Amino acid sequence: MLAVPTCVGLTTLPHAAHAQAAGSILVFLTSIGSEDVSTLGEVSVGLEACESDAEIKFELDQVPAAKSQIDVYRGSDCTKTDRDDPDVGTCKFITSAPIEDKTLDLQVPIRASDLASAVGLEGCKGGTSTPTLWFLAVNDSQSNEEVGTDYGSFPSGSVTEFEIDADPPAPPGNVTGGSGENQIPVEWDSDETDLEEFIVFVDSNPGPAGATGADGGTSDGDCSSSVLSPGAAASGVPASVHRRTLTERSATGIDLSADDIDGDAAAVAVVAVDNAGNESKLSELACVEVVPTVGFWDRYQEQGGDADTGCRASGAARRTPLSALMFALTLVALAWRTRRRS
Amino acid sequence: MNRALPSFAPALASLLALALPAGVHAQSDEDLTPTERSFVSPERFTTEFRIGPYEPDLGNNDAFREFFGDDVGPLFSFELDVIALRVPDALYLAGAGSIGWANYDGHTRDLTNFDVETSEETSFEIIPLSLLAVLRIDALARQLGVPFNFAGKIGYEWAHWDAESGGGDDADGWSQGLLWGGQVALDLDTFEPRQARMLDEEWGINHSFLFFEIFGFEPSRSSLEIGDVAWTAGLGFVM
Repeated sequence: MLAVPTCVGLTTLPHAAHAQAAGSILVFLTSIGSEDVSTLGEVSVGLEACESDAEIKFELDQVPAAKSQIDVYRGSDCTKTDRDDPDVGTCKFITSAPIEDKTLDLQVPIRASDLASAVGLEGCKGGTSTPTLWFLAVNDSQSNEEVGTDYGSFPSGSVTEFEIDADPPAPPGNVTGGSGENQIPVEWDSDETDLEEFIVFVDSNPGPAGATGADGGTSDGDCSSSVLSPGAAASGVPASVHRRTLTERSATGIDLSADDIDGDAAAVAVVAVDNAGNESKLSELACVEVVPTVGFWDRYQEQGGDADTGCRASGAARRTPLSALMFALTLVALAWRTRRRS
Repeated sequence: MNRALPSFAPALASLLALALPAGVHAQSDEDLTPTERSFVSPERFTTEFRIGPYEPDLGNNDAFREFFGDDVGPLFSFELDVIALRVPDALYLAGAGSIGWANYDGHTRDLTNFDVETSEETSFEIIPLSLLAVLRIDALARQLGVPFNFAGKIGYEWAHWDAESGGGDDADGWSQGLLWGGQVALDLDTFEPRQARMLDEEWGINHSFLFFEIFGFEPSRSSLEIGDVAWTAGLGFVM
């Protein structure tokens, strides 16, 4: 029987039954393309990064000096010596990087296309994946050699989630536009749950109903647009088209002002943007209209109501509803004090 | 349980009887048990949580009905009475203050065609503040066990109003005038006196009641005519 030395609070197991120790290499994600993501806790590689084959840069610390390569895999546990055997595990080789200068932190770039291919999203086709990446320090790439503790995994540290999201959200539905003089509402529905914002495009030069749109699409509403085509990519909308961005994940509408519309009428379309930056196609068009309006107070005055009523400000400080709140609080405080004294 | 008395006890008792003041009786075991304490906290003020329909009466001006239709608020309000005089089990005389809020929403109309309603919002808001003298009579409930109390109120109200449309402020101001009210309340203590006593012992709530009140606000001639005769109901506490 093997003698097992013990220390206070620790038990050393026989070598053959030694549990898998944590890797010694530290892995940090620094950038995706030109975007610095080093401070993010949840990171998504979106469709745009994928399709543009952006470079996803990792920085590795504590790389062992004796090794010459870093092999990058994805899978559930790719430290085993049979990691390349497809009949055994789920590991898939992604890329390799040489360890050139052993005195500096090592930069390991991974092409977004390589990563997408490794997780089954070849060609950045729609889908999502949350892979675990393994950075193995080896002497020969793809040699299946024992790595011991000379590895690092990702996500790790401050990053709690790493996702490849090539699945754009569905465009908002039931888009409706209204009319008004200073407050013109646009409303929509969306069942998506991982949204970051909505973008409302406003074409201030709408065409008549039934006219052909930019990509041959037509509007089914009371207006059309030569620059906003339902179902088209948002990236194709000219930069000159006015837009409003709403950073509320569960927003169902926005109030446009007359300045947003810049005219008598406009055609609007809405785009949903998810957390990975993926944009939906343009929604169906809705029509908004700026019309002069009459409100309750205008009408009251038209019918002979006196506008100069009540205790309006005239030299004395003008009371506001805030004073009403102070009045109520004073009453409550007096009553409470009276009660405490009793 | 009787105690065993020593043989010299009768003599001792005689001596004590001579020494003690007249009127002191020999104690039994039952007398040694303290009597149940009756606790009633002081009655200092009354609170009312009120809700009811309210539709400002703008006289012959139809603007309110045209834009807000049958919208009657409701008017939410809170009243605090400070009890100045309490005739036990009979009546309270108090000075009171209250604050309320009501809001009415509608849509603006197309200027060129009034029958066409736009998507733009127009609204009217009222925040009434008042000071009152209140007389509450609870003799029926306290003395006869009939669970009805009555109150009469009279005072003065200052109501801030605010008209908006399209997200902007059109006008605002104050209306002021006479405020009166008559109330009938259902005294809840009558139905659960033990629970009422526990409420007093634990929270200092002497009495609780459900009420129904008719009240009227009569703005002065120089004020915006947002008065009305309306009803309100709610829950009240004497504390």
